[in-house]
Amino acid sequence: MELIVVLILLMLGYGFGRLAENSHYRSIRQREQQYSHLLLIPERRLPDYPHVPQTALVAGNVVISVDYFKRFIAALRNLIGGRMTSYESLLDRGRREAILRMKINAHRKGAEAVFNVKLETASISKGRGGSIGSVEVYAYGTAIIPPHQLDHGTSYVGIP
Amino acid sequence: MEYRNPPIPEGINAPPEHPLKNLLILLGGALVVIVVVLYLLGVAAGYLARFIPFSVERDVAAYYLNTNPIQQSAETAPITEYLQNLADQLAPFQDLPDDMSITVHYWDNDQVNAFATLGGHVFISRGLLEKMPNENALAMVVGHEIAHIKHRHPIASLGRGVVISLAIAALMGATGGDSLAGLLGDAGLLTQLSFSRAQERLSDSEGLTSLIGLYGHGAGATEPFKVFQELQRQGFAMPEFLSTHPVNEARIEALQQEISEIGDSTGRGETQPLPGVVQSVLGNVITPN
Amino acid sequence: MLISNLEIVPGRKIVQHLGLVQGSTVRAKHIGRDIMASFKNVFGGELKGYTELLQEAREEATQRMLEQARAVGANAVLNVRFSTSSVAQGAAEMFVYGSAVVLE
Repeated sequence: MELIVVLILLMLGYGFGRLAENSHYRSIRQREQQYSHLLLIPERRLPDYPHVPQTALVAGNVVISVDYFKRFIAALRNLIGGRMTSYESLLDRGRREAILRMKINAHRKGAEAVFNVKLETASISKGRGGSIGSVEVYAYGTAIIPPHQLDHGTSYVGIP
Repeated sequence: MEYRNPPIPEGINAPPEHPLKNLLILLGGALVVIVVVLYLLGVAAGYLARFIPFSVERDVAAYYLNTNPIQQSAETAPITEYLQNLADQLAPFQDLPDDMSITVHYWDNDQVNAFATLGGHVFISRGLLEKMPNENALAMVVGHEIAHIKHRHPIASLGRGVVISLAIAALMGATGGDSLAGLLGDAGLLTQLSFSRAQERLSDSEGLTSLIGLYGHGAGATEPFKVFQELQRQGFAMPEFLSTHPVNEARIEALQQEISEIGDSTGRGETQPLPGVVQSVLGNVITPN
Repeated sequence: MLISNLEIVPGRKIVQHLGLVQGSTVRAKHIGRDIMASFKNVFGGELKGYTELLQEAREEATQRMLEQARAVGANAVLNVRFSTSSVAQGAAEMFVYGSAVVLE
């Protein structure tokens, strides 16, 4: 019976989804601690630096997929209305991960702060029936590099 | 001017909430919404469908029967005539409206079945005729089908079925979750059973009235259901909730209760055997009860 | 708490810059609004139900951003930007972010 298939998929989605989410959150918190010295300022005006710094555009992006359990809950929510808490946690993870990757890229360039941080969210691969398959978050900003710490072209960090 | 990044507390943008609890609440809410809405729609549709005039039903049925005529042979014509005669004798005891007429058809099929459909048409199958022990039992079945027509059950259940199917299609389209489609289908089925159990009980009761009217007693009223019970025991047993007909034991009990309420003597009358012409065509010897 | 999408506040000095604060919420419509919207697809006109829904969502997202700003000790949020994206069929994410500052 297809009800059994649905139940199995739900359990798989729930189990593996929770596992992935919890371990991802742990990793995010740990890295946020690690990179907390690199400042994030969403403003365009720079402070008056004693030495003129170098600037570079840095960005970080991540695509996170929705699991079956979250999609099922979203379909039910569509009937009743209200806040979709299952997707809220997904997007929160996505944003924090994207910002972290931007910071890591900035760090690799030797920056001490990232200014004018902006974020973009988009849905990728709408699944069957129009429900979303995955969400992409892109964070970008201008890294401020103190003059005596130039790097020489390290590769872009997609996966830390 | 100072620049720093104080840590931001967790849980503001993604409030912690146990997902299973969330799921249960949502499922409960969704099922309640679906079942309540479908039930209300079904009731409304059933009520409104009765306002369609019987003449429209008759015309639709006539058109359908013209394009799909039932096999009639010279052999089975006497049976049809006998059945129609029986129906015409039973009908007056039910006070049918003036424009309603009952047309009985003999359906040459092995299934043990009888049904009433649009336009006052009743079908009795050969399988059923073979299983009826006497004429009184047959009259109970015919009376039951006449009662369905009198109360416009065919058009009501047709209306209900159509509206509920439309509602389910709309709900499935809106939620966009194909996994929900199965669940919604099952939830809808439970509310959509054709000829609901309440309708069947009512027809049982009115069929009994016309039986007693014609023969003067209620003997043979419970016979058909005993036959169905026997068939069920031999073959298939279905839980009452999922089956469209109330369980046979319940119907037998209800009928016996009614018979005893009407008067003690009515349960013990003489039953008539099926006429010889029917027996010879069916090729069976049916022992009178 | 002052909210502005300018980078400065005229006549006031920024004493501390406290970084990025963000608020977001994902809201779904319910079946009633959806049915009304399908009717409107035939006749045209403003979808008041959806307008209300999205406005409420924006309010809530802004409130969350302010909650984060209070938590880091700011008294104003500047350079505020709004972003909307559709993340599931029938649901939209409202995202607000800005720079938390302390004005003197």
